[in-house]
Amino acid sequence: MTTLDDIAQKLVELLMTYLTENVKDKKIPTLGSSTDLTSDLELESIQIMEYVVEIEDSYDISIDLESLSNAKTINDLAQIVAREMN
Amino acid sequence: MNLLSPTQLNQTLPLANTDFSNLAEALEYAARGESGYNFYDGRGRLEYVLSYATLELQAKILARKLVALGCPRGSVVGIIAETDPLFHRFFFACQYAGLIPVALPAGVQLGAHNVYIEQIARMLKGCNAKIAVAPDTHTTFLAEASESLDLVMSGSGSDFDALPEDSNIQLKPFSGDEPAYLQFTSGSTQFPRGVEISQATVMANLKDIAIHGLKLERTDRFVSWLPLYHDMGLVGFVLVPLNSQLSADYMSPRTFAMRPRLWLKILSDNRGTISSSPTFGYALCAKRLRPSDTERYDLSSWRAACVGAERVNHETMDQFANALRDTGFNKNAFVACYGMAECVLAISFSPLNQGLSVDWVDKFQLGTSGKAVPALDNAAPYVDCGEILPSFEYLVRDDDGNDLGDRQCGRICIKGPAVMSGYYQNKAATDEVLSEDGWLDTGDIGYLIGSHIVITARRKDVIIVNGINIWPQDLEMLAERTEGVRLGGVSAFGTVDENQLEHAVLVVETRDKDQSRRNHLIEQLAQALSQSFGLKVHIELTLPGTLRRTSSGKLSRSQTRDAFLKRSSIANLIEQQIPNGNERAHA
Repeated sequence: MTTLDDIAQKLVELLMTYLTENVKDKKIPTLGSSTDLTSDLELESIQIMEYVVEIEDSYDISIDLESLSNAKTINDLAQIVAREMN
Repeated sequence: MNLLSPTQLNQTLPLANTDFSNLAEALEYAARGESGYNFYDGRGRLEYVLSYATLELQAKILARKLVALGCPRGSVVGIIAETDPLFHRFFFACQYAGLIPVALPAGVQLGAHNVYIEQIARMLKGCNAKIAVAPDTHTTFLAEASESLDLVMSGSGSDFDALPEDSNIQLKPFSGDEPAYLQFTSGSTQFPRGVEISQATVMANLKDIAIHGLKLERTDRFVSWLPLYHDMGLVGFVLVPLNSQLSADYMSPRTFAMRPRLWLKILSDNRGTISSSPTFGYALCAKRLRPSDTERYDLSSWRAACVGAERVNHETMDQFANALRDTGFNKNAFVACYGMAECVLAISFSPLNQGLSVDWVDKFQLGTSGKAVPALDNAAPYVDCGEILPSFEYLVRDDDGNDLGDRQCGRICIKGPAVMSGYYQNKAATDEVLSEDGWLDTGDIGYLIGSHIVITARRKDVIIVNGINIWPQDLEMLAERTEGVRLGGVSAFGTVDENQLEHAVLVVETRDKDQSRRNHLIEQLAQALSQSFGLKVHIELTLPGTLRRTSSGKLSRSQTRDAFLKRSSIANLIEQQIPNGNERAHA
């Protein structure tokens, strides 16, 4: 059974490749469920899309636009993943 | 197993692209052949095939249903332009129904639900739309956006399909000087301006593109991931193929951003010959390429790889060509293009089969006197955008309206049958750019080499990041709504880094000296900008009085930019301890 925490942890791992060293230095200790992907991490929209694809591929799910438009944090995404896996 | 197969090249129908007086006629001719549009899904599987023949039938049925809604001829229909057959069906139904279609953006950023809804509502309101439709993926967004608007009907494709069809209705397609479509492209998202293009105007540019720009033949096949709500996507890959009875294969911009290699796969599988992208698309594709890809793809058929819509970076293009050398891709297929929605799509194409031609000019003379003098040392590279299409007259003028000679930078002005009628119901904005005798001031800066045009700076003030036009006013207005930012105390502009990539910069005036409040302000601004524009913006806080103003007291973005570059280059120099700072003078 995969818990929401497990998913969030995996999502944080996947996120690492998109962060600059500078952001990693500042943010790694605080990265977690409440991390806001749209503000804290200096990500461009195209990187966020790449990240979403990686999430889709890892879990073999497809995330719809409506859900994405309402998601800001790692926790929001983890909930979508959990929902889609069922 | 997938039983669908994409539409063919046209085997039987003689190629015709100069004879149609409106889009409906062009569709009816194309419908006699085998070609059409093919839609690929997010994983590159063929999902939907829409032949021109089917499109004609469906468009006419839908047109009768739309007419029966009773809106006056010339009413506007907003279509959320996802890459979906629904868009094509409604766009052409409008042609038959005498309604004006306008493509609305379909891209939604992470967490940007409300931003998107406000944008759609503003656009529908801005063009006084009477009808709006969205694909199933966007119906909830559209429903929310239309709540406060007085639309005759708004809904999904199936909502419209469920309307009764009155077969007694005689369809009278738009023709001549009647409108063909509106295009939101020019102007900020706060104050959207719709370019109005008539039937005669669109046909003039389609003909020029087919005959002189791309020299289309029956063996051509189009492949595109470009958004249908941009001129390059709508005109270049819906209307140009239609007007020459050629097939087009689509993937959505979202699919491209997620899986850019699918672009090459479709080109390879379908033996595509024509496909376009801004520089950033080629860069993204090259970056994600895997070594095994080049063995699988055969791109030898790709004869026109057009590049435009933003500054063409020849080094990026070289990298793309080198990465794809083993696929048979020929770098001579690159075609530099210049154009804008105000002229339908295209103003110039560089010569086919010759690749990009770079004009190296002396940076100092360009910066000081606006002269583009060929040079080897201390030179800046500008890509030659090729010969201006024959239907246009063109001039380069200085700020006082005097005509300039060859190799002298100024404002590019053009005139001809492919120039827009104006901005829809916006005379003030139209008068700013279009003179009474029909000259359009493009706002772009460039120089002529004979009949060839070179662009040195695109529309003053517009920031172009990843192919997307961003209006500084929009960034500034958003910033001004943030607590701690004064009205008029903020200036946004774009700068180009040493890799020729453009970045957005926001300079904000504040007296606050408290470091944690300053950091908080920067974070707030970054968050707001990222959510609304999906954009990483360099934010600088400065003391009041730093922003430069013109003599009339208006903020001058270009002067603020120059001052910013000076400050940042000094900071860089101190950091790097390089004694001589002349090199950064050219912005």
